[in-house]
Amino acid sequence: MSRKQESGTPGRLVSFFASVKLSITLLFVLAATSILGTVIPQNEPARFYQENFSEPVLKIFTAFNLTDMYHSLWFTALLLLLGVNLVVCSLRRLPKTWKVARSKGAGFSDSRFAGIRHKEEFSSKLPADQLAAAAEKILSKKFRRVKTAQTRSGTGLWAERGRWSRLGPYVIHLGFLLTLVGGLVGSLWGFSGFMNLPEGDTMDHAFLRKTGQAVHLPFAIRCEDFDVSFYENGMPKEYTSRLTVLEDGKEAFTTDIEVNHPLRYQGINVFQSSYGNYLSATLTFLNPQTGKTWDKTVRIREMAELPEGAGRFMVVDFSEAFKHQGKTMGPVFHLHVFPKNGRPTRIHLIAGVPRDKAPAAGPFKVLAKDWQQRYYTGLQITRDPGVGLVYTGFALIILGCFITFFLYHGQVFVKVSGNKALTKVAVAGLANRNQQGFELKVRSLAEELAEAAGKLEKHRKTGR
Amino acid sequence: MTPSVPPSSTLITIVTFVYFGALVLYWAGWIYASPRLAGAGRVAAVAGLLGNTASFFLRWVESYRMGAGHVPLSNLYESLVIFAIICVATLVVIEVRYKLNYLGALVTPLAFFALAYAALQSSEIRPLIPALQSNWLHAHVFTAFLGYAAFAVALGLAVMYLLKKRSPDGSITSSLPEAGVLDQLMYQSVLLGFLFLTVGIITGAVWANSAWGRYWSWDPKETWSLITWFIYASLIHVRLVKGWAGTRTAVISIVGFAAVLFTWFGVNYLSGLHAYG
Ligand code: HEM
Repeated sequence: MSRKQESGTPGRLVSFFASVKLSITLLFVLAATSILGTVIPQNEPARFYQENFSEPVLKIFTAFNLTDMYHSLWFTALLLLLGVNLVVCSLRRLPKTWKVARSKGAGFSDSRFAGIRHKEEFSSKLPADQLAAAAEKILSKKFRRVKTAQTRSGTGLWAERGRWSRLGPYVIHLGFLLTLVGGLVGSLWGFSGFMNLPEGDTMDHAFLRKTGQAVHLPFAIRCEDFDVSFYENGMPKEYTSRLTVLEDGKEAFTTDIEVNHPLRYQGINVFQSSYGNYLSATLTFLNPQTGKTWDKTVRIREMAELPEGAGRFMVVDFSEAFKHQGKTMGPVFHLHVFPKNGRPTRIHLIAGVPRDKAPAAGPFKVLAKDWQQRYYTGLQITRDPGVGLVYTGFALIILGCFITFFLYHGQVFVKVSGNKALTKVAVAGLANRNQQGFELKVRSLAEELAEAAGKLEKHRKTGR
Repeated sequence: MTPSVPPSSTLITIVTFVYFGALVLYWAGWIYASPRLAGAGRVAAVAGLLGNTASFFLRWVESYRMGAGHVPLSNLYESLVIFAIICVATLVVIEVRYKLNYLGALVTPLAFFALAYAALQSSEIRPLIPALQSNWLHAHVFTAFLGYAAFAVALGLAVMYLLKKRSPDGSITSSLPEAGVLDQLMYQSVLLGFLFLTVGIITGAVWANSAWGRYWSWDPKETWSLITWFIYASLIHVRLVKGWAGTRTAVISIVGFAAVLFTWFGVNYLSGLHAYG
């Protein structure tokens, strides 16, 4: 495949970006560098790398962003280069291929026929015009487009199939391009976040996976119920969340989501991703001086205010059956207390202790009144405006592969020539792909022609 | 815990021996240039294939009987079983269609090793965790393994091509078809494998998007399947655009299959979402 060399710098640049050499180099470089990211753990916390790699190695990691290499500048640049390569190559080639694909067909010409090396030949005593007519009939049955031409040396027939299949590679390339663009669109205008939503609670924002930043959603979600079902052997069978979507505070609808069955609404996708449980406890604070009491309902690991503005506290842990010096103590709450006046303290609050044994939390005595374990559902919340493009790209890639691999543009040339006594027939085939397979087809076509000619000949003899 | 051994895996053990028999017959046929011995190998391969396929469906039924019904395409053991089935089926089709005799000598070992390796895996039937309960998953595993098997056959043909090329009339190569035929068949197997690998990667992406909301997350297995895809895409390009054929494409085909093996097994030594083949 020789091509005219473009002259001048712009021409050479176009040639460079259009070359298959570049695409193959890029494919190999991408394949080779992709390996790095499968060997070096990606997106771990900084501490992980400091513990597992030495200083010089870390420097290299940082320089080339190897701990998040698939999103690094250089890797993205390689992908973009591949995209540019595809666009330039296709744009440069497409007009020519398009012309071929749309043309009415070149038809028979002596020079094209002469250019094909391999030919099947036979001869017959039938007159040339009768043979040509028979050949045309057979060709018309097998090919959509058949043309007959008179040349100086005889009659030439031409037929073709699968001309449109020449566009196959472009369909793949377009599909691949759409996939790349869709990926880019998704990474620029999409997000991926999570929301840990306790049963009964409502939230209208998710947190970004990467930065922890809050993203406001166009609607709020309330978790009505979360449920895990199990198989007999104890493996989880299904996670189900019953969610209500609220718009402007009004309930829009309620639906169940499961793993593999997300909720898609207003461009936002809500996936069942994980679950967990957390503690909700009601603690009673008693002011021994005034005898006043307060009930406070708090969640585990959430900072809360002490009564009377006396400071803050947090339930940091809870154990159902706390063991102390070999004795099981029953449910125990671990609290951190930060009084306004005084030093922070840690206390163990054993459920059910009598009032006089209750521990001190700042100026108060504290008792456990009530507690329960509640589920929260872990939701993956995403928006990806690129998915449509990516899926269209997927479909085109598959379609294009099918066209490129299994269809081809085949042309058959039949030349009928000779004198009154003997007619010579030569059949030749030309395919843009699958030349060998097409040659077999051409051979059997030639055999069919010869057989038909033989029959006609016999007919003529007996008819006389 | 002593997992019960389902009857289907007893059948697989028998099939493993049948494939071994086929392997021996094919090799004997090849070495002694005896199409009849190789033909006996093919008969054994077909017998093994029937048992192999029966065990696949039996396991499917068994899973329903256990109340954990699913298509058996969900763990390493099951992936090895389906690989062996597709490998041998493709082999038989190509041998019959293109009148080849000895391709089995290079392909039956792959099926045999796959099942022998499966014997080392747990064959216990376990129900599917929620993420795996998807028809996309079954389409994904099935097409990916169609691809792998076609690449395995291409590997066999590439090796045959290289042997034939080195000594066309050697004692073990004189009975092989012409190098050109082997080359063309190798390329066609690669095309078939590439199409299925493509569909496999895409169905996997669609599945991931329905389960986790991301169609691509660069996990090691995904990345390796893409590496494999790039290698075979290069092969197709150099062939179509540069007109490379013969030794060079045979070598790329071998490199490509090494990438297939790594995608399938090697990745298990790296961390990621995919725990199995
Ligand atoms: C992975 C991304 C791909 C890139 C970057 C790419 C790039 C290219 C480039 C640069 C050319 C050369 C065009 C020219 O010579 O003017 C080309 C040609 C071609 N590509 Fe691709 N390609 C990709 C994927 C594919 C795939 C998956 C196939 C599958 C078969 C394919 C099939 C072809 C064919 C058949 C040609 C020859 C076109 C012709 O001769 O008109 N490409 N490709």
